[in-house]
Amino acid sequence: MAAFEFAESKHDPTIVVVDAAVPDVVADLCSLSALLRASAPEFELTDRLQSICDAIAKGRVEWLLAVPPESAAIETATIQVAQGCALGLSMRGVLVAPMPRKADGWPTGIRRAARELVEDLQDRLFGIAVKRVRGGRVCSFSSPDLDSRSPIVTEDSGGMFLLSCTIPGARYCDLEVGVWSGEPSYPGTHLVLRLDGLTARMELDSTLRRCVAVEAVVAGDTITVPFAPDPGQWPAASKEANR
Amino acid sequence: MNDASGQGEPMDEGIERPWWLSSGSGDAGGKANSEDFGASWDMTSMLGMVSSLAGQWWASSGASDHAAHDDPAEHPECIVCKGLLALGSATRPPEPEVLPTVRWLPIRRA
Repeated sequence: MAAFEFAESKHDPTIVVVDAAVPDVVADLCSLSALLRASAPEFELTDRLQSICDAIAKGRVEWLLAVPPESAAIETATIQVAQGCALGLSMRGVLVAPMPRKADGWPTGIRRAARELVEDLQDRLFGIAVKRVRGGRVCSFSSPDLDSRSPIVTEDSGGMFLLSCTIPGARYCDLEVGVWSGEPSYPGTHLVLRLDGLTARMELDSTLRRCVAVEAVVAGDTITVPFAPDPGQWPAASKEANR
Repeated sequence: MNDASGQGEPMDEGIERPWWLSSGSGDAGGKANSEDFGASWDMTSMLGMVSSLAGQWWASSGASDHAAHDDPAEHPECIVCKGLLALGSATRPPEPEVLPTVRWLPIRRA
């Protein structure tokens, strides 16, 4: 179970319960929106879907994942959080519920195992708030800091540009990294991440569009892609190098 | 009561008949109206002549037989087939824009 929540501070949040994988729902919505924009731009539904996708992209739709303390569900939650973060979703946290309580007659071993699963999920999803219900009460989740998850671009001493992004839970996914170009004049316009079958695209800035991606270096949940300047895209720099 | 078509009761003799009620047998109303009618007839005649000439040109060009042509490339004498071949619309659909596929990168685990 997962929930959408509007993070607009001026209005009461609207909570929508989605009984499905939120990354899949969002990916389908955005794909349908792109399809309608191309095929039926005059439809009212096209504008509505576009506004939803814009709200998602701007972080105005937050996502709270609820998961039971069960090993298979923890595995699924890890992958869904990684997929959601790759899509740029605003992830408020993961709520583990319901927890087995002593008052309900659950034995000590089962209660301890459930708490260990929560700790395991906290380790898996570093940077994401993972909380469990306590005494039947739900803890509050603060709004996430989206800037902390934004990709960082640095330049090393050799003139290579390094794009780094951290995706909580990525190391537990079947990961592929690629580059795609929507404009033939550039070697690449988007970084493509495929996590357990879900594809997410990350738009490259004007500098990286003029570079060629070399490889993907994966360390834990952090993915770093070195970009080498494309001589054809940097005529002035290549002339200076030849002198 | 007179109606606009003049098919009702006869008009009074003192009322001048509009030019468009004249039968074309010379009993038109005023002089100016008669000239207008003549100009209109001339225009109709000219349009008929032009359409007749266009029909003759269409027939002489062979375009009237185009409906029976399957492959435009086999009828270079047909002006319609020639035009379709020149435009390229008859032989092939517009080429779709092909975007490059994703170039997957080698992954190195650090």
